[in-house]
Parts: sequence; structure tokens; C-alpha cells
Amino acid sequence: MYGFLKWVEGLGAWTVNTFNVNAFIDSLQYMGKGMAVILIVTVVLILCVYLLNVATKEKN
Amino acid sequence: MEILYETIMQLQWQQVVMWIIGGILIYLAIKKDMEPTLLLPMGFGAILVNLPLSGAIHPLTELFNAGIANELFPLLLFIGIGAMIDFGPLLSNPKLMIFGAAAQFGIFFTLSLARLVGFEINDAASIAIIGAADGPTSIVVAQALKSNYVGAIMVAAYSYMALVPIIQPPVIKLITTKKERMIKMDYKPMAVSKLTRILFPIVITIITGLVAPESVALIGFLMFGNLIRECGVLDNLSETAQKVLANLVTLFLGITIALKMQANLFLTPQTLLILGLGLVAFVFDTFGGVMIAKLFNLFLKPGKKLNPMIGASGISAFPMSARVVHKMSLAEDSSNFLLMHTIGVNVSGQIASVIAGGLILGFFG
Repeated sequence: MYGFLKWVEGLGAWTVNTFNVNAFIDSLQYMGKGMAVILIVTVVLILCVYLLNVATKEKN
Repeated sequence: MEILYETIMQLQWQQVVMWIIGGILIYLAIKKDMEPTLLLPMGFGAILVNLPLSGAIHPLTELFNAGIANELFPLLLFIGIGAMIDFGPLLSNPKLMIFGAAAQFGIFFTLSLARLVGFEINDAASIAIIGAADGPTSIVVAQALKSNYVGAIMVAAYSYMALVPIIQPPVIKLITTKKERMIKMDYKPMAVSKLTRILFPIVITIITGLVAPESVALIGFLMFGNLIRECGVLDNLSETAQKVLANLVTLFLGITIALKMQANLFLTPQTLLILGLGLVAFVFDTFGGVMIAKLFNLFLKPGKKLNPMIGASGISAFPMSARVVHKMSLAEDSSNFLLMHTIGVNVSGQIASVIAGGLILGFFG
């Protein structure tokens, strides 16, 4: 029981001691970059698939 | 008798807790049919590695080094997954891919949140990739970034994938109106030639490889599997990849991952946080997909509007997410069949999640 209580205490202490607003703000750039790149790549892929569909249409 | 006494005296309460966790995973796999191919081996493995002085640690360590530390198992599994996926619904309506992209929002949101609660950047990125809703991608990223929490990340990733029918509906209902959920969408697919089906995996590999070189292994193996399926001359290999290869790798994957479920590695305060963050990732993936559909609806004419629920299928848990959204549409209106749309979005989520994994590796690898 003591071990378990110690474990719960560790959870609280770790969370409080490591709460890091600066790291959160710094990481927001990755959210912006990541979503932007995924959306751009996706648009390129959509265009490619449209082109593939058009280019191979007559061969159906 | 003395040996028995010595072994029992080595037993710690944390190991007993891990037996219970292992038992719960086995129960969920057998009784609730939740990702049984992985949760059952993981559950049994959790018991195996948490017996005092367990002799299973050494062989499992060898398997881990041979198949997971070098990312071999997840990549081989990707060949099988690629061979299983029919990209037809996506190829016939390619604009659906945008929802797969938007539904990766949860990954990047969770990355920031994990940093906020104090995880190191490599661990935060590995935790965030739980939102890819894709086990092999999670393993590759967590392993490549040398995360300390591979076991917890795997348990969260596979558990939440199985819990998609429970996680997604309340989120979707919270951010959509009944009127939106009843929107009907015409299904007018473009004809897709065999040549397009063959060229698609090659083109995808080249484009994503140029943008995110770190994703080449992931997307390349996935698309290789799909090329085997679509080429039409390798039916035997395709069948082997879908069944024998995928099953064999899955068998080893689950029990090997359990190596990271030793009590001293798994039963840490951080594991609880990881389980919470994994849930956040799934919730915000769903949010991202639905919200982009709602955004499009602002610009679409009445009669052409999208049912925003299809965006939620962009989470790559295939095909569960597509089925969940389809069932929700039928529950609102029994004549509203969204399945072909949701399948298209769902397979696009598979591609987008791999690209996201590659980007994460590119940013932090």
C-alpha cells in the first residue's frame, strides 16, 4: 500500500515539476509546419491522381 | 522448496499489477474482440515478462533486437497491410484525401500537449504518433526516436484503435448538428483504370519520398504491398503478404512488444499520462477531420454540401472508423449510405498518417 501511495505521489510530483509552458509554445511551430506540409502534399497527390485518371481514361 | 521460496520472495506488487493488466488485455481480446491479434499476445507477454526471474526476457530481447529495434517487423507488416488495402474508392474520388490529411491534427496537437506536461521532445513526438492510429507507424517512430515509453505507446495505440467505436461517436455528435449528420452525399465515382491503380503506389512513394525522405521506408513498404496486389501478375505473393506474412509478423510483434511491459518500465506515472494523451490524439484527429468538412461546407452550395461526419474517417484505423461513421449516418437516416465516402477517406488517412510519421521523424529524428 505504501508503495502504491508513493507511486501516486510520484505521478503528481512529476506532472507539477515538469509542467512546461515554454516547451508547449515552442512546439506549436511543428503543429503549423506539420499540418501545412501534409495538406500541401495531399493537394499534390490529389492533382496527380486526377491527372492519372484523365491520362488513362481512354484505355478503360 | 528453497528455490520456490526464493522465487516467490522476488515477487513485487508491481509485477502482480502487470499480471492483472495482462489479464485485462487478454479479456478484451477474447471477450470483446478488441484487436485480438495484438492484444492477446501482448497480454500474455505482459504476464510472461513479469514473472520473477523470468527466463522469457532473454529470448524476447533477442526477438526485439532482431525485429523491432531495427524496425523490421513493422515494415514487413506494412507490406501485408498494403496488399490488403483497396485504394479504389479513393482513386475514384481523390478529393477525399484532404480529410485524411486534416485528421492528422491530433498528432501535432498531442505533441504540443505532451511537451506541456513535461515529456522530452523525442518522447512527446513518439506519444503524439499514437494519433496516427496505426500500430506499425507508432512502433517505427517510437523506436527511431529512442523513446523510453515504447510499451505504453503500443498499448495505447492498439487499445484506442480497438476503441474507435466508443471514442469517435460522442466527439462527432458534440461538434455536429443532427441536420449536418443527416446530409446525404451522392456517390459518382470516376472510372479507375488498371494503369492508374498500378501507377498510384509508385507515384505516392516518389512524391512523399521527395517531401519527407524519412517516410520512404514506411510509405515504400506499404505501397510495395499495394503494387503486388494491383499488378495482377503476383496474386500468390499478394495473398501470402495479406495472410501468411501479416499473420506471422503480427504474432511475433505482439509478444515481442511485451518485453517493454516489464513492471519497472511500464508501471510508471508517465504511463497514465501517455494513455490520457493517446486519447486526446484520437479525439483531436476526429475533430480535425470533421472541422475541415464543416469549413468546406461554408463555401459549398446547398445540395452539394458534405456530411461532416466523413471527415472523422480520416483517422487511419482501417476499416473500423469508416464503419463507425457509416453506422452513425444510418442511425440518423436509414437511407443515408456514406460507406464508399468513408472508406475513401479512411484509406487516405492511412497514407496521411504515414506521411505524418515521416514528418515527425524528419523533425526530430
